[in-house]
Amino acid sequence: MWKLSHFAFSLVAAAQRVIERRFTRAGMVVGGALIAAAALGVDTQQTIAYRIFALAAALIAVAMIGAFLQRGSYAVRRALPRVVTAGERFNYRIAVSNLGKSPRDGLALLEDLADPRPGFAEFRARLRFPTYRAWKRLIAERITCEVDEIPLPAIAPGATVEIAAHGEALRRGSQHFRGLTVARADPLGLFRGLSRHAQGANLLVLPRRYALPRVVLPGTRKYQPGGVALAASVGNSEEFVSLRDYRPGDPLQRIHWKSFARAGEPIVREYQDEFFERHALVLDTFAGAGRARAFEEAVSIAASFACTVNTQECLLDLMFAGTETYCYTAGRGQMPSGSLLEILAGVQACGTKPFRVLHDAVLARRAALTGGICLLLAWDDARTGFIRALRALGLPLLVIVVTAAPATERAPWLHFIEPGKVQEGLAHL
Amino acid sequence: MHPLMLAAAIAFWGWQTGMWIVAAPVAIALVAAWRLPLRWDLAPAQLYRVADFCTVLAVVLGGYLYVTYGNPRAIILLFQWWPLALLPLALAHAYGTSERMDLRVLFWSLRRNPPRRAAGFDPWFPYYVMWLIAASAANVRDEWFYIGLVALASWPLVRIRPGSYRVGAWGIAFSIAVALGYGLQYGLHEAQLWLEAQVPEWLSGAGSRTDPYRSTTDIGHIGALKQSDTIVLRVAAGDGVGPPRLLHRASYNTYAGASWFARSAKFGAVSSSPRPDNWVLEPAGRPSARIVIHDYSVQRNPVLSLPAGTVTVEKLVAKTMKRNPLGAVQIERDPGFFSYEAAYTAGRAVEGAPAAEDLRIARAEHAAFAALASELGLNEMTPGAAVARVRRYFAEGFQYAAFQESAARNASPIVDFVLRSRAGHCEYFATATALLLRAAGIPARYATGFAVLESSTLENAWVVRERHAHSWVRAHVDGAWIEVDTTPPTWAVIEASASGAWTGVLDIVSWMRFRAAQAWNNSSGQTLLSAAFIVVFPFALWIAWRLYRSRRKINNVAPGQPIMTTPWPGADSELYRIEQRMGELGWGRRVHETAGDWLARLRADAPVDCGALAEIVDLHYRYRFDPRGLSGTQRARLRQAGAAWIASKVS
Repeated sequence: MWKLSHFAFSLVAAAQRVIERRFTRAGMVVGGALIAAAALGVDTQQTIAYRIFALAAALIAVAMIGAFLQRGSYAVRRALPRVVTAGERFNYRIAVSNLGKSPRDGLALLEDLADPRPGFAEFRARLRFPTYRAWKRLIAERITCEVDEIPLPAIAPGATVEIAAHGEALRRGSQHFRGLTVARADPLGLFRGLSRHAQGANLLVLPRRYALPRVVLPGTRKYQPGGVALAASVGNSEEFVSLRDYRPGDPLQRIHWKSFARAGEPIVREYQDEFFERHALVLDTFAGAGRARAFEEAVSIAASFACTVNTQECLLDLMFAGTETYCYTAGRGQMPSGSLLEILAGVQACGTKPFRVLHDAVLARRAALTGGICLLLAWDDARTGFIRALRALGLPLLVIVVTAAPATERAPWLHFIEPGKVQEGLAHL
Repeated sequence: MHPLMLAAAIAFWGWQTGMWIVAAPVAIALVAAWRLPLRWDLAPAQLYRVADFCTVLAVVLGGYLYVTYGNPRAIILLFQWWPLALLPLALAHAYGTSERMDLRVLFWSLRRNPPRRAAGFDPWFPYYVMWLIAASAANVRDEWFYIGLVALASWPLVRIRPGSYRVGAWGIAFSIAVALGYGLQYGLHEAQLWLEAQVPEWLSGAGSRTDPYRSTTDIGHIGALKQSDTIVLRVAAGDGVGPPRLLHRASYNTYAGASWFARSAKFGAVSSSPRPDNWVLEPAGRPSARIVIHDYSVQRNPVLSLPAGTVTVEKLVAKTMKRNPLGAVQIERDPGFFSYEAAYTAGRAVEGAPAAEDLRIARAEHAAFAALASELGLNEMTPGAAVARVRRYFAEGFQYAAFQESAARNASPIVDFVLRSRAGHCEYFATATALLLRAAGIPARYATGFAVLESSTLENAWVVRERHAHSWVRAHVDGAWIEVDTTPPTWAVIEASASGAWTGVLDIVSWMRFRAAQAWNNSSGQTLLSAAFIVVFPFALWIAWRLYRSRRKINNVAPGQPIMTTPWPGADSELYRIEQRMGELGWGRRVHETAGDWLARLRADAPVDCGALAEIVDLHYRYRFDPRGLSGTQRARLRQAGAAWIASKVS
C-alpha cells in the first residue's frame, strides 16, 4: 500500500505541476469544462454534453500543437543573491532576450526549482499513514523557497528585457535552482509552449531570526590558553599594555628602540595575556517525534543569538550534535557570526544518537568556557542532568527550553518558550 | 468578463431548456450589477454564509431530484439546475466590491486550514462555462446547439488572444478546433452506439432499457451473470388477487449470433378513448383482472411491462402509444416515474397470427434441433402435447446456472447447451425452447420481461427487481399464443441468494423515492413545491436580512451615474494607445518607467520616429499632470498627433 500510495501521490503531484505550468488560466477553465462535460456526457444519449467535451478536447489539442510550434527562442540570464533569510521575501533580476525574428508576447517566466517530492524512504519514514494530506504537508516541508511566476512584457526581436523576480524564503536550508523556463501561450491562449534553459544555482536560506532584548550573557573573563590562535594577529599576540623600564631578563626583542633612543635607557613593551569571555551556544538537535517545530524555533533562537552577541569582545562556540558532535567558534578573528548562520541553515535534527553525546561534548570543553546558552527541546531527565552538571561546575547559564509543555520548575536562568510564541517569550528574558 | 457574454450564456441555457421565464430575470439581475452603482462590501464570513446557503440549496435540490427521478436522471437535472443553485453566490459576488473570489468561499477545507497565501480567482469564466454545460443537459439534439456553443466559446477566447498573434492565425486555429470537435462529437456518439450494441442488454442496464427491435443475449459469454437488486417495478393487484407471474415487454422472432431480433415488426399507433389517458389494445377483449404498475424509465419513450392478454392500459399520461405485431407496447414520454393500470384477460395471449419468421431456424442450429425434435418425437405429437413434452424434457435433464465455466465446444453456444452443458440461465432455456418448438413445426417467439415473484414488506404491492428480468417463449398453440417458461423454477431462489447485505436499506430508500414521486405526480408538484418554498424561503429571507444588516453598503453616487467617469486626469490621453500598440510590437513601456525614460529608450533602440513622439509625450505630461491642463487647441493637437503617429508609424 505504501509503494502504491507513493507512486499515486507522486503521479498526482507531477500532473498538478504539469497542469500549472502548461495551462493558462483560460486553458484551466476549458480543461474544467472538459472534465465536467465528460462526467455529464458519458452517456451520449442522455445529454449532449459530449459535444462540449468534443469541442473542449479539440481546442486543447489544437492549442497543444500551436504552443509547440510557437515556443520561440530566448536567452535568459539570472542574478541570484547568495543568501536570503527565512520568512522574508527576496528580489533578484532576470534578463530575457528574444532571439527570434518576430515580437513575442503572452510570455511568462518560470523558475525550475528542485523537485520537492520526497523519495519512498523518506515518505515511509516520516508518515504514519499514507494520506494525501500528509503527503502535501511533507512536500510543503521540503519546499525551501517559492518564486512567483513572472509575467514578461512583449519583447521585440533581438531586444532584451530585465525584470524583477520575487520570491519568498519559506524555511532555512539550501534551495537548488535547476533552470529557467520561458512559457508562451498558443494562439488560442489555452496552452503554453515551454522553452527550458538549464541554469543551476544554489540559494542558501538562513534561519529566521528574532529580535532579542538586551541580554547580559552570564560568565566571567577567563584566560584563554588558545589566545594566540584566537587573536586577530599572527604570532606572539598577547595584548599590548604599556611601556616600562627594562628589567633584567626581559627579552631583547621587546625593547622599544625609539623610546630607548629618546630616553637614553632601555624601555621595553609590556604585554598582558588575553582574558576574555567564551560562551557556549548549545543547540539541542535531538528532536524526536512531534518536536520538529520546536527544533526549528530553537535553531531560529540560536541564529538570533549568533548574530546578536558581540563577537568582537568574546568568543562564541556553537555546539550541536549531528552525525558527530560539532563545535564552531566565532569571534576574535575566528569565524564571523554570518558563517554561524550559514551553519545553522544546514543543521539537521539528530535521530540516531542519545542526548548524552552532546552532554559529554560540552563537558569536555568545560575548562575553556565562561558561560553558556543552552537551547533545549524538552525538560526531561537527560537534559536536567546535563544542566545540573554544568551548574555544578559553577558555569553561569541561560537555559531556554522551547516546548509546548512547559514545566512548573522556575529559576532565574531557566526560561520556557512555546513554539509560535517565541518573540513574546524572548521579550521576557 | 463582458456582462453581455454572461447574459448570452444564460440566454443560451434558457433557449435549450425552454426556461426563458427563469433565464431572463437571472440574466437581467446579473448584468444589472455592471451598470448599477450599488455595491455591498461583504466580509469573507458573509460570503462563506452565502456559499453555504448555495451548498444547502444544491443538496436539497439534489435530494429532491433523486427522490423524484432517481439516477441517472437526477444527476443530469442537477447539472441542468446547478448554476441556479449557485445564483445567490453569483449575485453576492456581482454586487460585492471584490473582483476576485477567495477559494475559501467555495472550499470548506481551506477555511479550516487556510493556505499560506490567499488564492483568488475570477469566478465569471467558470460560471459562464457552467451555464453552457447546464444547457447541454436539456438534451436538445439539433445542430444549433453546436453552432451556439462555438459562438459562445469564440467570444471569450478571441478576447484573451495573445496580442502578438494576428486575428487570422487565431481564426485558423479556432476553425480547425471547431471542425475537429464537430467530427469528434459524432465519433463519440457513434462509438457509444456501437459499444452498446456489443454489450449484452442485461449488462448495459437491464430490462428498463428494453429495445423492442433487438435483444442481445448473454448466450455464449463466460463468467457470472450478475444483476442488481434495484427495484424497477411495483405491481399492485386487487385484494386477494395475485399478480400475473410474467410481465411481458417485448418479443422477437429471429435468432442469429446470440441475439434475437424483431423482423418485419413495424409499430402502429394505438388510439386512446374515451379519455386521453385510456389506451385500447384489444377493442374486442373483455378484461378479467386489473393491476396497477408503477414504472420508472431512465430514457425517453419506454416500453411498457404488461401481462399477457392486456386489453386496455388506463390512467397512463403519454403523448402517443404504439405497438408492434409481436406485442411490444411503447409510449412517448419523458424519463422518470410513471404509473398505469393494465386490464387483462388472464391466461391468454392475444397478439397477432404467426408468420414465417416464427418457424425459421438459423443454419448453425438447424441440424441439431431437428435431430433433437426427431429424437423426442415432437413431430408426431399435437402442438399441445409437443409443448408438454418440451417442458418435461427441460425439467428433467437441465439445471439453472448463472455461471458459465468454459466456452462452448460446438460452433453454436445454444447447441452446446442442449447437447453438452445442459446448464444455463433463462436466455439459454428460452432460446433452446423456441428453436426446439420451431423444429417441431410450432411457431414460437422469444419473449422478454419480468417475473413477479416478491411481495413487498413495506406496502401492499409486489416488487420487481432488476434481477427478476426474465425470458421465456410464446408458442402458437391451438390458435392462440401461450406462454411457455422452461427455466427451472429454482432460478429465482438462486438469484435471490446473491442479494447484497444492503438490499433492505436500499429498498427503504427506493420506497421513499417512490412515495415522494407518487405524491409529486398526484399533486402535480404543488404540494412538494409548497413544502420546499416553506423550507427554503425563510432561510433565504434570513440570509438576505443578515446581509442587509451588515450595513456596509456603498452607494455614494447618484443613481444613474457611473461610479467613476474618469479614473484620473488625462486617462484618455492618446499616448496610452501608442503605448499599447508599441507594447504589442515588443517596445512597450515597462512598469515604473516614466514616459520620458521610455522615449529615451526608444530613441536609442527602436526603429521608430521619436521626434513626433517627443511632442506627444510633452503634451501628454501637461495633460496628465499640469493642474491647468491643456487648452482646447492643445488637446486637439495631442489627439491629432497621436492618431497620425499610430496611423503612419506602426500600422
